[in-house]
Amino acid sequence: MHPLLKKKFLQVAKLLFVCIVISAGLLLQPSAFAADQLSRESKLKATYLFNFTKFIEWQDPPSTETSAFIQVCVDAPRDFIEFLTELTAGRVVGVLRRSVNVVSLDSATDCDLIFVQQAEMMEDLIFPDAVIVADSCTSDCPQASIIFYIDTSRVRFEVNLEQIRSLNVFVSSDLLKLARINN
Amino acid sequence: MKRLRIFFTFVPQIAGALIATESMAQSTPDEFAELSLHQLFEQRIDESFNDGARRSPWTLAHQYKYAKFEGYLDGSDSLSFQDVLWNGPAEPRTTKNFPILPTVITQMAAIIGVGYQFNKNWQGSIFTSYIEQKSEHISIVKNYDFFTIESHGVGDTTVSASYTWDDSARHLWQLSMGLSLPTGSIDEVGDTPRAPGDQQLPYTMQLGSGTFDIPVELTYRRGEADGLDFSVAATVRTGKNDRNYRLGNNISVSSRYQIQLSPTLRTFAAVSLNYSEAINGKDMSLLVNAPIPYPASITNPELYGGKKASLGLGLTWKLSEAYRLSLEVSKPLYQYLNGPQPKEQWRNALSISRTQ
Repeated sequence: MHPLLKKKFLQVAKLLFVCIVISAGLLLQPSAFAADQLSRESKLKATYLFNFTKFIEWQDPPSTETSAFIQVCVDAPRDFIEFLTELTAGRVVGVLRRSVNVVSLDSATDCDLIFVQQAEMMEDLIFPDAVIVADSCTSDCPQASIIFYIDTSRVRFEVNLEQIRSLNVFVSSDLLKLARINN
Repeated sequence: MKRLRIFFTFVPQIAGALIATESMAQSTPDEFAELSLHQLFEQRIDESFNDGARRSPWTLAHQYKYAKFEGYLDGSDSLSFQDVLWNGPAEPRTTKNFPILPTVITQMAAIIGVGYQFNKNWQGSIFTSYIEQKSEHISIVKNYDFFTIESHGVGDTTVSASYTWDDSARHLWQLSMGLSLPTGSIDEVGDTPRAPGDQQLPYTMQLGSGTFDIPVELTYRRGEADGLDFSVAATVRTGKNDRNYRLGNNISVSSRYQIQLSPTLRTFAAVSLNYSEAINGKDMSLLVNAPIPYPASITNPELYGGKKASLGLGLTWKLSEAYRLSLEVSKPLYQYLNGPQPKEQWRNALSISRTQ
């Protein structure tokens, strides 16, 4: 093949390759636009956690300074933590307009609200004053103040009134109205 | 002109992805955060009832990689071009000097990959690449004092499967194994001083390995937005190609520390240790009829491989819930090469990916 012709052929081949790559990308995009890995159920639960920080007031002991943020400790996969971090970023809650800080339970040194996915995690929790939210606890979870459950394809929550009253928190009646109360 | 070409190759890809981002209709963390408690109470967990978001098992990745090699190392000792260039009969010819010398080697690879999530644990993917390489030379051969050779075309294609363990809330393990198919050419030719006209180009200028290779990777991540990731990756070559050689096996160990700067921006620093073997066998068409048959260091299969420790810095920008744009710049901190061998100066990678 003549060198000039070969060069032109290679240029056309390269252009064709780039077009194929672009076309493949465009063809795949309709399906690629789908939601991310985190399930909608998990997203809704993360949103509930954020709402709990709005409707629960943590009463700091009088001798201590009020913290500038509410510490939410999460025992959940990375995607869940990232989603909750983004959801709460830049937002403030409560009359004290405190920000919400999301950390992994594994590395937490202080917690106001704890979300646990595995019930066995609750056995060795070292934050006795924290409000514990359990994900669909099937067995006995006496330490959990709030337990998620699913009803008619919707995320619902049960409040253990006795447990949550034993903590130094005030729960808004707006939240209790929507909860299934477990005395 | 080449820069312009690369720019125009970039634009449609990035623009396409950005347009895609704008047209996405799905629930973002912001949208969830804006829900009132009562609105939240009414949300269904089956997505189709609440929004139009469609879950897809497909993933897409597109990456551009650049690397530049300049200067020479023998072990960890730096050599000048004059140290490696054989200046003719007045100087003793050894296995460490050559009449032809590559001075600057640049490589660019545009990689496209498609993945499919079979279930929670298993994912399959296929990657292929388009490669452009350029090598500038000096030599003592008449009419070839300075010359450049180039090669470009489709590289090897890798089909792989990965299994992820994510049952623990805070630990994620992923094992990937694949098969690299020899779709890249090992018969690239160009005008070199070896003889008039086009001849077989050295190993560095070929587009593929010519063998069926097995890439394996094990990755560990902690379930936190910030923190350390670790991975071990290896490529095992099998058999020999049609030109009677196989590229060296290689293994790398890397660790990456990432910090979430904002909800959409993450930075990371990575350290990697790489070891690669020399080429096994030899392509006889690269040799010349002389007591030392290698006209250039890159034609000697023993002068490949070595050890490298590199530091990489990068940024990942979350364009949307699904799309990520990532830039990484990496530079070797230490190299011990089977030399004389061209020294790696830096490598960059720009990627856009649709993750699940």
